[in-house]
Amino acid sequence: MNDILFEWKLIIRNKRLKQMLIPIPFLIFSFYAMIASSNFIFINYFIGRIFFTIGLISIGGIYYGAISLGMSASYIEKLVTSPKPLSSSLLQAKYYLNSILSFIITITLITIQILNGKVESMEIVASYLFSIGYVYHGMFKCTLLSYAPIDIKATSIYNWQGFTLSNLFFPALFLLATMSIIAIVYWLLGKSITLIIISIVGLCFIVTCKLWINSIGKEIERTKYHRLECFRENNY
Amino acid sequence: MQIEITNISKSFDENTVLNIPQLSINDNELVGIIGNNGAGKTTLFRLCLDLLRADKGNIFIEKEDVSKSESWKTITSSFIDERFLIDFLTPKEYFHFIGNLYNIKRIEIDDRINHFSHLMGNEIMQKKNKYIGQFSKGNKQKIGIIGAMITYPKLLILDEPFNYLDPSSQIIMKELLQNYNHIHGTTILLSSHNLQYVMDICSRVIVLDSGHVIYDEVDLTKANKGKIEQYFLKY
Repeated sequence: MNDILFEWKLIIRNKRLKQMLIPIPFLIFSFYAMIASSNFIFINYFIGRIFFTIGLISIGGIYYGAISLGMSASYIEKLVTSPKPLSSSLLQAKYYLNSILSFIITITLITIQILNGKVESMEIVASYLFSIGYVYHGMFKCTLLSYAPIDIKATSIYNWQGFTLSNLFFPALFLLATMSIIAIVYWLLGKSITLIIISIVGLCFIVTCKLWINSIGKEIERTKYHRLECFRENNY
Repeated sequence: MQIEITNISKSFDENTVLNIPQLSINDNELVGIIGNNGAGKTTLFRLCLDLLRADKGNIFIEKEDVSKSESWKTITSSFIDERFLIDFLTPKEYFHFIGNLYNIKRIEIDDRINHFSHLMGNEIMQKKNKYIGQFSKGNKQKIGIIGAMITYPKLLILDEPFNYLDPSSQIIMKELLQNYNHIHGTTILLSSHNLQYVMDICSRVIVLDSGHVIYDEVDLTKANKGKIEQYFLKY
């Protein structure tokens, strides 16, 4: 719990990270507007709806992909010289915090659906499980591919020193591949089976989260010399 | 707490910045490493803390190879530069965070903070809601050093601890390091550009130049101190 609060403090006290939270209410409002309007074609299709919902719920994970190591980059030398392994509670705290943020978004989306009289909450619940399980796993893995995460010390969103295309490219590629697979499953097996499959896949990754988070932590440790060099070169 | 350095070498872009065939640091020693810019002091510390990969050779802390073991981290604490600080925490939160990394209870950390109140001074002690990033460089330096000392490690590594400090704080720091070494029996490895301070407080002085150990003096007599001063006069 202390570690989760610690991560939250770092987000909420940082001007840049706070700015990155601003689009979330806007996107939720967009969702409300779309499902309120039955004429909006995109949202009337299961695939369109599920893509949008997963994207919205897993936005915490997308942030993670871009900033998670950036958050730690400014004090990484303290972390890697300390006895507490990077793979344990701090990485897990990042995961739990993002999952809590996603849960708040999920509850908001379900409430919006109920208010609109369109109760298809199973879609949102399945999207939540899939997002915080499979999608977050993918996003966490994407962070391993980026050696120069953004600098959280910068006070303006316009000064993204160290931000590389890989911060965006790999998560975008991962999400595109994921959505394509869901579309194929839906096309082959239909809506109900697709929802069950994505729920089960998500649950599997949630249950095993400690395992894969630890393995990511170990990978960061294994490549730490290269990462530390990149952080130093980027003046973190 | 013993440190054994054997045949260590590190190069950047084919420039050898450190080359030490053999160096031992003994229990309870307060060792000062002095040298001009680019002498290899910080590189040596980074290698000791496994923040850099050596091209060849090994560094052992309590007979554990730092690049192959993690156990030395529980008995070692350090402050190299601002990258060891977390800008968006208050000093107290930062000390609690370090306590968490070293499995020290909050109440214990709160108690230990009081032991460093003299060094922290009014600015750090009274502005409790100020984030570390908002402090001056001197105060950041104090917070980082206290953050390293608060764990009561067996080995303390400090890079340029007198940098950015005002004259009063430099004197307090000198006394603090000496007392800390005596009371806790901590082996302290520090680097500095301040020749006089290092010779005043350290029981052993190592002079580095272009990555090589030039002098390694345990017997800091007036003559030996003069010899070290003469060495730097040649530049």
